[in-house]
Amino acid sequence: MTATNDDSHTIQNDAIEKSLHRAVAYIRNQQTDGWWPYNHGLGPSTEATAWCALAIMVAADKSIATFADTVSFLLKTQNKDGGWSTSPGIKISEWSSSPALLALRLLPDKSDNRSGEIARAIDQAFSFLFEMRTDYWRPIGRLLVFLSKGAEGLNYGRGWPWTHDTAHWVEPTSYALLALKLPHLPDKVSLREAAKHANLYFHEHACRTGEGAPPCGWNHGSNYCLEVFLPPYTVTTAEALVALQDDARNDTVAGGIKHLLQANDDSNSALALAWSIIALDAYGSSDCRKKLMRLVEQQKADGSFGPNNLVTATAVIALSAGQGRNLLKFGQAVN
Amino acid sequence: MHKHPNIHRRQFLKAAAAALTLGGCVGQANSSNDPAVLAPATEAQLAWRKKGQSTVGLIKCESYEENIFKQIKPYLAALALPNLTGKTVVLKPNMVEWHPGKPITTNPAVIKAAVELVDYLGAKEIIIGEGPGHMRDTEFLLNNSGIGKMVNTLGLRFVDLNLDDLEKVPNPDNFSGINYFYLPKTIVHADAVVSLPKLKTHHWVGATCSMKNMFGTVPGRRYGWPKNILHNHGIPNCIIDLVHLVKPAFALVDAIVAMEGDGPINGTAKDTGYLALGTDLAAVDATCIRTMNIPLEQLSYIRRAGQVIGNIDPAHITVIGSSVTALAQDFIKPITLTRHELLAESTKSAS
Repeated sequence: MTATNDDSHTIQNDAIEKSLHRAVAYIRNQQTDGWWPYNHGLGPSTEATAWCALAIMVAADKSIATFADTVSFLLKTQNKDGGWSTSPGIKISEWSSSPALLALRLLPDKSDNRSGEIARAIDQAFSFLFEMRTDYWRPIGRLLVFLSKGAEGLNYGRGWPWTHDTAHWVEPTSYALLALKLPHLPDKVSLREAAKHANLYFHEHACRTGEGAPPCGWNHGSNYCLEVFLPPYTVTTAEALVALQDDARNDTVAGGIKHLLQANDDSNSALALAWSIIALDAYGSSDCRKKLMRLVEQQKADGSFGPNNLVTATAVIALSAGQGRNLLKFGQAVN
Repeated sequence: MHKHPNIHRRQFLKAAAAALTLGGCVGQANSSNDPAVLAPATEAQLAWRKKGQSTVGLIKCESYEENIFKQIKPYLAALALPNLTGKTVVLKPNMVEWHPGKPITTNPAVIKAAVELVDYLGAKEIIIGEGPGHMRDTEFLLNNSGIGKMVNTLGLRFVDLNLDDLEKVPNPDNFSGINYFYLPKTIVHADAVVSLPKLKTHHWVGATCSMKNMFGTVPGRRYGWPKNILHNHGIPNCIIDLVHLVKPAFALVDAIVAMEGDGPINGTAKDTGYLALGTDLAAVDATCIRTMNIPLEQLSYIRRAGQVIGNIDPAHITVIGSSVTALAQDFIKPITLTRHELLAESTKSAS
């Protein structure tokens, strides 16, 4: 007897459901007082905490206690400048501020009686992110550009660095844009301008195979170096695409989607598959099923997708997207 | 006589961290990125330099299929590698990126030989540790480079140095202007770190070998992917700082297949057919770079290493095994060695 497409889909949906259930159980077991480490046995990671809690939330395995603890952790570990550091003791704010802000925007339950405190923390975090952006112009330089070229002269691609006073790169820019745009862009001119300039950064830094060739995705941010065109990576391409959903008509987006669809999934990792699924689903691609099944195949016996909790959390978000709940799809806020 | 740097490296890093906690430190900054400029070193910066003659083994090895450790073993006595009895040893390969057909990463066969070597030297625990410089997807790099399979087959522990817990470590010799680094606990608490680089041309610093390989000990979770702060403070100076801080016990260089041209990522394979081994990383790197026919005077970090790390003058390096002359080949040079004006871009786009 031959299985029909419907039978096949039912079997696949069951596999996704089981995989999701096991992965969520694994992540929940990795938690200590509302925070998560990157790897088992390590200390708290701001980034892993944000994504693990969000993953549990989107998998609809809601536990108010879990998120209340995570929100407490994030409030307690916010630095005075409004940002976060990779782990609480360091106290130097950097790129980890973006996932922390995203979690603080999406996690709190409506019944949380700390809404005023949370709103203040979010405002401070927005201010920090705005100030942290990379700029090659000193104030006097910006003034000269403004005087010589007008306001349009300052309208150039400008993303986020990993740490203060360094260049902008694809991943911290993606994370910052997600924190700004989800669940929606704040109604504040400065932040909207910042988002617009970051979108422009992505369009200017897309990889190409040569002069005049169409865009084909993103790497870490070095698309052209010393007269050489450099190739894209899967994870960074997917992350950039997710951040660019509100600017989807640009040809860099089409090039990025094509890169993900053509990627060799046999050599791809769980992280690359998960981000690809999240991105393709966000753009309405119906071509995720094979990647979802490939992702399910990569699950370990303990329910994880590898030693790094961040990878398992991303896989949970991808599997949830496969069930129609994409945490990172614009216009589909979960909480 | 020179005291081997690894002997007290853990004590040094721990004491340095404690000193920072108690009162901080002040270092002299020299953030010059100009290869022509070499500021005078201070007494403190010079203190750690290897004294006396250095020995470097150039060991012919045509293929990764050979029994590499067997090739190395006859030279061990002459190389005076440290006794690692009871020690925890971190082997640090290069896994910066992976692209099909490009010899970017240290070959797993060389890492396996290093495992056999440190086991032979008495190591109690052997950890493979790396913090890839550009890609956050460590699993992808482990799988595709073959390093993951080798680690699993040998039952070793791999530590992603990008994600490890961190310790604040002052940078007392401070060539870069960075007063302290956050380093992975696995590196800070190891008794010995062994550098296992791939020999490659490098478009920002000319060539990369065992000293530049220490960039992978700097954690991405604090500094990013790439670790852009190291570029902003001058790659040459940061290389020297990290060698002074991490104090690698010795280096085993994968020069069986090297990279020429637009290294360290986008170059092409070059059959070089040897391994280099030695405890003085300046001497190891200088000797390897001589086999590439790249003039050392063009590489500012090598010249600086000759001042404050070890020997780069061939008169002070005893080469055993093969000879530089026998192994030397013309490498296609990276573009920045002929067009120096491009170095000005390094603070903005170096990676």
